Amino acid sequence: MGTFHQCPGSGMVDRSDEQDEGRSGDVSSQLRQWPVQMHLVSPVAPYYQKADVLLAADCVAYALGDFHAEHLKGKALGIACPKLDQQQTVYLEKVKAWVDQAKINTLTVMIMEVPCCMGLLSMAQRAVQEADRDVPIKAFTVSLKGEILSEQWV
Amino acid sequence: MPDIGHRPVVEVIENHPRVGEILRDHDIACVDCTEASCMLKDVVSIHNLEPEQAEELARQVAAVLGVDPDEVEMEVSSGPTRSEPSPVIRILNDEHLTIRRLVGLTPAMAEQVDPATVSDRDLLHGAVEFIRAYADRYHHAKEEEELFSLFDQNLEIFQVMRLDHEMARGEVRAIEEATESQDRAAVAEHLSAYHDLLEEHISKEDDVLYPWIDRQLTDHQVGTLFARFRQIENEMAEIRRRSEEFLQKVEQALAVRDGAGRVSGQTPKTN
Repeated sequence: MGTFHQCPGSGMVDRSDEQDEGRSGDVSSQLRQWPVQMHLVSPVAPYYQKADVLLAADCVAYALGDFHAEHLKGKALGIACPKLDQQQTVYLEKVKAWVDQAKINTLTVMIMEVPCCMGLLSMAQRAVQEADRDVPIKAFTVSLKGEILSEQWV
Repeated sequence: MPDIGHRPVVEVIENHPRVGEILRDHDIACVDCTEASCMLKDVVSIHNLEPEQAEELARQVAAVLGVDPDEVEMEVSSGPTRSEPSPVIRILNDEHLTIRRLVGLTPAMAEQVDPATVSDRDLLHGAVEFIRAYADRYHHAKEEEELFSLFDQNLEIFQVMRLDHEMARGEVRAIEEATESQDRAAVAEHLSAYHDLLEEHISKEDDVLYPWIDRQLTDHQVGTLFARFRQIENEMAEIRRRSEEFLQKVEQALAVRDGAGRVSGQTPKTN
């Protein structure tokens, strides 16, 4: 496995020499909605009403082998990249609308371990602070190798 | 020795005191618990031991009992290990801190307060009202009626906690009766009993029961409980405000007495 060379968010890592057969057989999708990208979603769509919502950084679903079964199952989804996406104030307003208008039950934020990903969690926390309602936020941090590094209520 | 895991831990300790010492070495204080009705097999899951630690504990206990370690059945906790409590458990922990502020004042009250005086009777009635309003209505509306009700009420651990709550209510009634009859010794006796009961009870909940419950709660349940707790807080905001006001008043009054022996600026009246 290679190492970070420059920015941890874009530095090259090569694990192609690691072999793992993984799980065999069909693994069904747990996605129950469309769209999922934060610029495209309506925060008051029916599937967000009183839901447990997962806000995931784009890379998380690729890094985690069991993303669908263990993390997406039973949740409504929004995805975003805090490093590259434009006009992220829209995201802040949409998360506030989740809390106040869709009256979501919980907000789970899943980010990668790279420093730039923290911005997504910070934005979510700020949105909940600015909202009229209060909801629990849980944060997961995922390693570049696809492991859960931390899981905690924030 | 069949079904050793299904025997009450107190019984095992009574027959084999060394088991109590082993549990204490693993930071499990069953030997100090006056009401421990848990089964030996539950001890591991309730205290959230890692599988390796559970295995070592079973090996040590088996050696004392003279049985094969496989015969000492231990249930390892299910669910992820979380470093921080969930928001709902944090709310209940914080309320325990508020209740502990009053409990912490009871030794000084037992020593200084004389129910023969009107002002001290008011103080004692205020303490009784605080416990009934803040602990019994505000806190237990969340803890007993919302959180506990998600679990099987036949589990020993909940029966023990509810028994503690009933015993505490009995002590509060006794404090009230002793206040009415102006029996200073009885007031002191029941304040002291309430203090000891609550200190142990809150420790059991904060250190053992709540972490165990937290490991069983799904994220969805945490969200639902959180919303319900906020609703209760809104509905009972006046209880919270009055309770905080009372605590500040009593803390100040007893602090002044420490120096002057009597509430500052008040002339004791005897009826």
